Amino acid sequence: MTAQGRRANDEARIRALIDDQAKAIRAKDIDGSVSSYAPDVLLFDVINPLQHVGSEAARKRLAEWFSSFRGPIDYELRDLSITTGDDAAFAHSLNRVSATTTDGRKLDMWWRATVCYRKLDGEWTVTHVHASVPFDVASGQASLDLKP
Amino acid sequence: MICEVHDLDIATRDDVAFCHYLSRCGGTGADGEEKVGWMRATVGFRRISGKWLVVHEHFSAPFDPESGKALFDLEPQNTGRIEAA
Repeated sequence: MTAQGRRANDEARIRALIDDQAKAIRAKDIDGSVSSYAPDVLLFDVINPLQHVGSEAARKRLAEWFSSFRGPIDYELRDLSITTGDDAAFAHSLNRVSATTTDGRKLDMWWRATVCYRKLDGEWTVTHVHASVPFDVASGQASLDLKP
Repeated sequence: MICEVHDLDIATRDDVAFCHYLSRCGGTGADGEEKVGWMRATVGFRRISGKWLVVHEHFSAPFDPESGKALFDLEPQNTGRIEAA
């Protein structure tokens, strides 16, 4: 296979992993949401703490997040960009969640997502996730109502 | 101006690389008070014409879901790490 063909294959594989995770998130499926994560994945999440280490921490965080919603989660990715090398790759996108919280509030929020991969034993594996919203410098408030 | 890089990890083999780190940044205000906080950074690179170039940068502070405030007083040891049994 040519280098170009390999790269197209790798990009398609990562795109499939991202699609699978989006489906799992919409279904509130914790196992499916972390199936491509390395055991020692490093997470920079939208909310505190500063960082989480490990897929078990990711599962715990997802369980809390999923249980904060009543009914289904609407989840989408926009402006997805994937850059692949031989053993390292990264993707970035703008992600949106729309759902009703358990206390009846409607949540509709966009955030910035960067996901980094390493090819481990021939499989693209997520080793780092960075999700965040910007903040307003004057007020120090997180900007939760920005739209792309 | 303070801008320190901690816990840097770089992944690369050929012409794509990424790194992540925690950055302690801030400075001394006009009132002489030092204001410094920890930020998270992720940077994506491509080697283009033999030169490593930054093609994506993600820099942030997490926020407190209760108050909606960005948090600048978190310390790196607060990792939320869960050790395997």
